[in-house]
Amino acid sequence: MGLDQNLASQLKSIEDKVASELKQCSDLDALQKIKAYFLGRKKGKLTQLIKLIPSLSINERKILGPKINQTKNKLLTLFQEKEKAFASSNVKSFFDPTLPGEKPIYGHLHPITQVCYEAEDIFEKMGFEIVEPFEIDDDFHVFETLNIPQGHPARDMWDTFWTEDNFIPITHTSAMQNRILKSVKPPIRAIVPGRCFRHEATDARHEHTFYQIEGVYVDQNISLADLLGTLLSFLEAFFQQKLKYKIQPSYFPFVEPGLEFLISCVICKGRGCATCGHSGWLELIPCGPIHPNVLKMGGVNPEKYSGFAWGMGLDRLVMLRFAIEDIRLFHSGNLRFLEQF
Amino acid sequence: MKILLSWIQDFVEIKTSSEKLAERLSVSLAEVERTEKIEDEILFEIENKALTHRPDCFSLIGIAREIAAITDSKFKPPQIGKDVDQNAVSLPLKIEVVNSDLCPRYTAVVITNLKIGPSPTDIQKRLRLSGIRPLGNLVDITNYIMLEWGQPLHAFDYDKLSDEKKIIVRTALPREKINTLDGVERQLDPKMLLIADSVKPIGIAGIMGGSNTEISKTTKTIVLESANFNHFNNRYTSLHLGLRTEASTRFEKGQDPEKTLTALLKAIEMYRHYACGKPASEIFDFYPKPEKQKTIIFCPQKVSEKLGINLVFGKIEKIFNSLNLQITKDAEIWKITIPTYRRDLTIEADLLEEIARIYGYDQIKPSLPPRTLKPPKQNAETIFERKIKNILLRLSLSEIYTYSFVDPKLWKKCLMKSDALLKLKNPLSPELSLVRNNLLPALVDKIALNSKYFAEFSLFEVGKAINHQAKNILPLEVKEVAGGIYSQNELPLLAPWYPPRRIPVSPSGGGGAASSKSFDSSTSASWRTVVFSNDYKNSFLKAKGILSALFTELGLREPTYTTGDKPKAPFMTGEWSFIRMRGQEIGVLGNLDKKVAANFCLNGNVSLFKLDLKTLQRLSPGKKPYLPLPKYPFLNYDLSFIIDSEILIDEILVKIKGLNLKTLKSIDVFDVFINPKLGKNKKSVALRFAFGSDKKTLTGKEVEPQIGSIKKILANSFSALIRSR
Repeated sequence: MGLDQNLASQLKSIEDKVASELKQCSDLDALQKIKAYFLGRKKGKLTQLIKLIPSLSINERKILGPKINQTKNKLLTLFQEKEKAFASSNVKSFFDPTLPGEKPIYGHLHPITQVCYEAEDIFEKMGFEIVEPFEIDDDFHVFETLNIPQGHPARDMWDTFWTEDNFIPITHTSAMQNRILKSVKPPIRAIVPGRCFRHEATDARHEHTFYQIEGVYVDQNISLADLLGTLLSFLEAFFQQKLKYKIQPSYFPFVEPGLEFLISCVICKGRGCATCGHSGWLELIPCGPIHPNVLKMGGVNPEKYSGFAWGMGLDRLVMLRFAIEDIRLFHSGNLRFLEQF
Repeated sequence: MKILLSWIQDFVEIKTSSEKLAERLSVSLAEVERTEKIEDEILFEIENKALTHRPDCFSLIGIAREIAAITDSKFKPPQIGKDVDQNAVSLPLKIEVVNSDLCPRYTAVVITNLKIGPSPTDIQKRLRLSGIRPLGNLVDITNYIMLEWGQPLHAFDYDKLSDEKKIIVRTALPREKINTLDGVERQLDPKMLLIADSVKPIGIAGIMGGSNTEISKTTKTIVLESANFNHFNNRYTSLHLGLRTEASTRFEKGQDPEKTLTALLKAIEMYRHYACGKPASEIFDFYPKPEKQKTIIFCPQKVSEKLGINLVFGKIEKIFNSLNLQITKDAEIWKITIPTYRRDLTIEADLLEEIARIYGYDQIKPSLPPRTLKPPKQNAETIFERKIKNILLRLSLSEIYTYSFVDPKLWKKCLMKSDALLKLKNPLSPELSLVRNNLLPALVDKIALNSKYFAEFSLFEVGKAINHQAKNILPLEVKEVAGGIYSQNELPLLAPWYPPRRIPVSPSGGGGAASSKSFDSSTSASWRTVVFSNDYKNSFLKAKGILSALFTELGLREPTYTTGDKPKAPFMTGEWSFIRMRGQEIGVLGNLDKKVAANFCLNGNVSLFKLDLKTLQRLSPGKKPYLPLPKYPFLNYDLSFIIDSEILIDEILVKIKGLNLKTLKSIDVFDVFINPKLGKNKKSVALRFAFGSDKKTLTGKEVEPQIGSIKKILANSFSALIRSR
């Protein structure tokens, strides 16, 4: 009991002393000294009492231990309050709106996906339905139904990959044309966005894996003028500006005539820049009225119906939209690239 | 193709400036890619590809005809002297065409008395500027005519023919070989057409001559060949030998057999003129089936119908006339006679093209086709794909694209076998030689790449996994979504200490048949969603949370996860799980094998998932259910207990759900940890139960019986030791 009372008075006097010392204490240095005097690791007044605990009997420990701890916590709280008071009086709280915000982590859609959605949405509004291509198809759909028989020199225009079992990673999304013609009765309005392949070495402007949006339109009384109007309407909606266009003759066996649809450069407005090779024109969409043989093979009577088709390069649109200089970044999987979109 | 303007002017008067002409040609024939001014000459470089269907335009005469039509100028046909010198000595020559189907016409003549020397400078200049090296008069003449007429010729040294002096046009014998002019020995196959004498092959028909009959400095007499070869066969041979020449470029397009003889006559004239050559044989002309002019029926009304331009018939007539297309009118129907050199014109659509391009595409006014207001048919598959991508995007995953062509080494690094993958016959490189049947290896590769720059990220890709099927059947294309979660530092799944976590427990999930009726969607608490805190760093739990949210957004219930015990690379054996829904496997979730990570020098933790989109779409109801908010507040009750560490959380939840407690609305697992203090192989699990009623606010007393039964079943089924309350 004696020990108990003795200790209780010791604790009380420590608490009182600390309270009165703190009242007079006027700076942080002095505060540290007081703290060390009572709670210092070796010679602190309270620390010495704490060190006594192991030497006590179990019964004494049960009673005295908590009391010492109580005092310790009380002191710690007192010191903390004083420290806070000093801190708030010494440093003015300051609201700095220019501090950088916390960086949130959020997802990014691939730029090709983004632009593809944009294009799909415009075409859907124009009445086109979306059809997905096969990634690997057969000679019949990739070439033969498109009026490119075996041995035709036009086959050289496509640098084709072949699988060992003689299938073709599609060279163009036109490979779906025959299936579309067969499955829907005119009027037919469909687009085919998809991944295509060409046997070509890769550099900043060329990729063996690329993306196309094929378009097919078949109905009665469809003319070449309708093709021009459709493509121009799409491109003006896509680039959100008035465009000049021109047509260049070309050759693709599945359209007759084969044409290239060019628009005035959207970067330099036709004045000439690196993007358009200083010509002022962008060669964007190979297209043309569907060849009667292709219609026939698709079960569509070319006497009654006519139509047009195109195969637009999607990568090019994406590169134009974001001014991306290197096509290889698309498949790099590099987040530092992707997180910019 | 290079076009020398001064040469063209032999055949047409050019009335416009070269700039204008280039522009007009680009708009009406093929793009003039470049105009070069060189040695006081103007040279056009014309895009070949656009002329693939125009064999006639692989010649100056052909281009000249076009210029005449386009610029409304007159075409000046070349003049050929038909008077062959009859006084020459006669030398023997026999011609035999064995495969007349592959050689519709073969003309030849022996020319002797030749004086070898350089060609005159103007001929040399024309060849040089057109991109052909002058090699002396005998060869230059053949090249000159080829450029001018589009008819390749070949001169064989007559004295080097075998004694019989016989030329045979035949296909190659099995294993036959020939040394071609370029000094390469070429192995032939029996489909390839040859020119031979009676003992040896002396040339590959329409592609390249043999070195054994090559013109040399001592050549005095030649056999001059001008022939027409089948273009499919020619292209076959050139492709299979990998040998493309100026001659094959022309023949493979299909040349007009009508010009075969004319070109020979022109050559005879030039040999006389520039090499003192005298014909020393009759002019052989094998031409069993002379080419006939075709006619095409044409309705002039179609011009406005198919082109959308209104032209008076007189204008159409004028265009046809300018192209040398003759019209025979029969009321509304015109019969158009096609010159033999226009082999590209076979149907009415071809004639419409002629009108459009000569009239000028720029004259066509764009219009829009009329259509109904009916909205287009929706493609459920693409809509679903978009939905998946958007949900993953909201869950902070970024989309990547990787190639469909993959590297066998990538599979090896992932400890996977690549034997079953489709192989490319002609890959660009070994790294791109297989077709992927799984999206995960490339994903792991890209995670490794990005882990150098980011401490925490999640990626996904939607793409096709392509699998071999039976022979002659298209490969099976399965659209998958693959996702990967990476974090540099992470806490283990079960740690001595764990931050509070909430796992949504969709009450009907996980239990299979055992799940109770009281947990059907009407009482489900699936409106609770996962709360991610930033210091949540277990990639597996993060991946699973992402999947839970994805399924919730799709209106699907929580699937079952069953640990697969077999190895399934690239997953860590024992740390992956099948994802099943209504008995169907929809995907896989698991941790990346540490050995695979090491192969990619990948530090940190990676969890991966893969889902089959088609199956997922089939199971998805299309919309997610809305649940009205509870009218009365729920009463929460926390319970923590100690059980064997190997008991799955799911087993516990299933048991509790099996009690069919009507007022139990949800269970949250909010704390799971292991600690030596708990005993050997024990873990502490804390559950929060939410009780609720539609009729009133429940009191503690009212839920006591339910809590009692939960405690009982925990104690009885798992020997759980209840820690609190």
